[in-house]
Amino acid sequence: MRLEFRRAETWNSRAWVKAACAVVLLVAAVRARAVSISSSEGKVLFLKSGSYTWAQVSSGQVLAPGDQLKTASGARATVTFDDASRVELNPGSSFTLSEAASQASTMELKLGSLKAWISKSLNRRFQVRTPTAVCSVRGTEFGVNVDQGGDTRVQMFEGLLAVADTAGNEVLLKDNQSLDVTKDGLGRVADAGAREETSGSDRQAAKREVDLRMSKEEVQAAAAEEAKLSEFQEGKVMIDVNGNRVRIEEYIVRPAADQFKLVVLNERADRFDYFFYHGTFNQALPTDMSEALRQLPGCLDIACPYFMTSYRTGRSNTQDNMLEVASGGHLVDLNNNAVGAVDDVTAAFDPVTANFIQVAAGRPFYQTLFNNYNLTFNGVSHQSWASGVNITNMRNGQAGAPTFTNVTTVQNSPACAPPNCTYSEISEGVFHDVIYASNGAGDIWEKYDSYVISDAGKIAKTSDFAATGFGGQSFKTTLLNWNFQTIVTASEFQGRKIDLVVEPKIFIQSGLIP
Amino acid sequence: MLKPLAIAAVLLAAALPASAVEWTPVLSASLAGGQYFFQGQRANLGGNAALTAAALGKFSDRWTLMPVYSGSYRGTKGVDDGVAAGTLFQQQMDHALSVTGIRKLDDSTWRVKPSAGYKRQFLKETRNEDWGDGLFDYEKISAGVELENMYKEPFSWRVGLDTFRVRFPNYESLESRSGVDPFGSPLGRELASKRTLDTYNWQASVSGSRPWPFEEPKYVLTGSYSLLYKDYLDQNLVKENGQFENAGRQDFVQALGGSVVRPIPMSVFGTDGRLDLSMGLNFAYNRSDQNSFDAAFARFLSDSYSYWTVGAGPGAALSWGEKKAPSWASASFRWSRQSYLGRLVQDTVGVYSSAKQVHDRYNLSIAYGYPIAPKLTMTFRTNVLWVASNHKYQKNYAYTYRALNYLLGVAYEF
Repeated sequence: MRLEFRRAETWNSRAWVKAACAVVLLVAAVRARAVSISSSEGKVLFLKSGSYTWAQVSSGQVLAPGDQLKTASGARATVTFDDASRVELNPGSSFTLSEAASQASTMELKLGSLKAWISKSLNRRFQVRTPTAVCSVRGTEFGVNVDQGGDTRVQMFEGLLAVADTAGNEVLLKDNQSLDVTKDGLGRVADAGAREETSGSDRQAAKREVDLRMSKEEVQAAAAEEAKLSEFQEGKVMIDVNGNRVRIEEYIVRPAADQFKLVVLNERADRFDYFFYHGTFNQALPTDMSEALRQLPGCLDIACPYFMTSYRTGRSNTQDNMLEVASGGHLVDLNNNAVGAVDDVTAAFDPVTANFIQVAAGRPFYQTLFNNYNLTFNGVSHQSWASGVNITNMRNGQAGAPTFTNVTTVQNSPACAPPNCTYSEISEGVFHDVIYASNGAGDIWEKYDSYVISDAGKIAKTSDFAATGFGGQSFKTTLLNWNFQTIVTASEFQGRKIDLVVEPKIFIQSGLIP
Repeated sequence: MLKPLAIAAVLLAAALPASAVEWTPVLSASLAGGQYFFQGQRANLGGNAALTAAALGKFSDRWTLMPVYSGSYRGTKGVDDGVAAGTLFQQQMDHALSVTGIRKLDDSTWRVKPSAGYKRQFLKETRNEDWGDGLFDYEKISAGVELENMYKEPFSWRVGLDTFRVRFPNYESLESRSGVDPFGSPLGRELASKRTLDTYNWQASVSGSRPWPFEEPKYVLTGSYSLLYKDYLDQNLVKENGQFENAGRQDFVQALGGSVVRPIPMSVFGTDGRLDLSMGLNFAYNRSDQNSFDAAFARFLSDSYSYWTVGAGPGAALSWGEKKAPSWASASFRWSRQSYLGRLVQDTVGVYSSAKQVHDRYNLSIAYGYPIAPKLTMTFRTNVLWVASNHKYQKNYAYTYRALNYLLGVAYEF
């Protein structure tokens, strides 16, 4: 096959042609007129004309007529001409430079494939020969592929390409056309898809690089995903009963050797609420605080080694607050105190097994009672009690009980009606209850609006507990897997609220929920 | 006056074909709709879309530049997309832009590939949340360099060094900005960290592929090893008493992987086809110095983030029909086990035992593609995931579940 490159005849002005030629000749004159290897990759062998020994080429190797090149599997080489034309030899190609004169360049491709970019700026004849066909090129960019049998595929990317077989039959290829030439002669010119097929190796290389990049991207993204996963596993994000996303953080700190402080933080898009529980024990806490905290709900059979002597709890929306302050804590065996069975503990949460267990009558159960207590809303006391000596029970009016000062008392129907009343919707199939307390005049009041909800903000239905039934150990155990949301409002809050979502374990284990 | 300019323009135009950048574009896009199922619960129909656009620009014999854009939108979850958190509605969108330079070294098969990239991922967790407000949105800035020896195209060995920073712009710990309680005591712990999820990462990696036997290959072998150092910029270590240490968390993740692929030419439905059988194996080990403190159970958990994982599984891909537009079908199965070194097992109500957490995952993927137009393929994909664990406490996160998703759509490749 023979390829011939001719100057593109696109200039109309003779003066322009002269000027262009002058400049081009000037540029050409200062360039080396040799043909050389401008780059090579992998095993590229070079056989000098007249020699019998193949050698590895190196970049800058000058080629003379008769010199041959072979590219091994995975190897490439680029041959550059002095007019900036270049030929790229693909892997597995066998190439001979036949002629390298200023007016003509001829080469042979016995096997493999090449891609050529031919400069239009010089009036140089560009020739390529393959075993089965002869072509003439009048263009700038084309590719030639020769298989083991010598069959040739020629593709034109841009410009004009004249292809002839060995019998002298010739056909012109235009942009993006391709043609197969065999020993039987010219095949049919194909129109579509020529560029894609010829540049397939380029596209495959591009796809390969894209794949590598995407793989790297995937590995790096996994590091970010892992950080997110740990947050999900700790359950720090959920939806509340009103459909708002709530971020929850819980932690315990030890402000002093005998103290702990449990903090629950809630953040929504437009608000921040928190709960804290700051307790002081009868002795320094062990390194594993859980050992002492497990005893907060009380101890069966023996007096708790660890009990609180005072505590403070608080709920706040950063503007309003509800505070409880208690002091004078001491242990009392409620099941064997002077008031009899009226304050006996019949079921208790066992922190060891995280289950509720039944407590038989008379079985010792030690719980902490506090001599002094005060519940305030924005500094206004609603309920309190006090005693100068260690109290033994919480039964109002009984010997050993403190003196109660309840500004507000719980309001029940029929004295009141919802929404400002104590009521429950359990009987209607949903876990929602309201506790409402007020003074006689109704100008000092507090309200606790409580829901049992799932992580998705769905209010628990009684049917969700059908398997466990209501009441008893299994019911309460099941309840542990839900969340508590309590919305507190009070006469002092001026219409604002404290809206907290907590895990019930926090309250149950800390003794805040019996 | 105009003549020299005209001459220059003509010369430039004439010279351009030989000297201009030669671009090879690569484009792939997909559009699919489907659903996911979690423990028998069915989510609404959702749509997924993805686009990757790249161009390999050849500036000279030695230098090539490749800008890549990839973006995706996920309106339906994949089986791995945090479904175990189980609660939050999720839509995800990400955009990544990168540039890779490829410098061929003279007279060798080595290439140097410096690269830089930026990625931003958006995650909507609630329906009324706007894009960009997601708590877990993150951005990643990366840079790296890779040495590649393309010893036998397309097989190569690669050595890489990368650094990347992951930043969650909307995420700060609540503790770090919780202020003081009404009694004037700080709510947060001393040394409470703020940006606890942000990391600086350095990764060294070695990977490669090899035909076997080398001259007349019947198998393709691949292997990789990487060491990733993750420096949590602002996450102090948790001590046994629940307080923080004045030292930051550092993780070292080592990953080892390998696969063997056996391509088998065969006749399928009277056409030339190919069956690729594969088997993969991977191992990873994360050494973290972080502990945790379970406030709900007042329990300190030492070394709760270190783990090792092992995974293995076969795959098969069959293609047939027109070489330019083949039909294809694939199936793969993957088992992986993650074992924590210090994270303790809890029972269904949260009681801790002394056993360490072990999670098993079984993933089955099936896909089918049918060409419906040039470069356009109709696709069907389904993934089934079984997850099992000895950790039974699932209040916050599901550790034992089944999830399934399916997607029907089209894919375009150029």
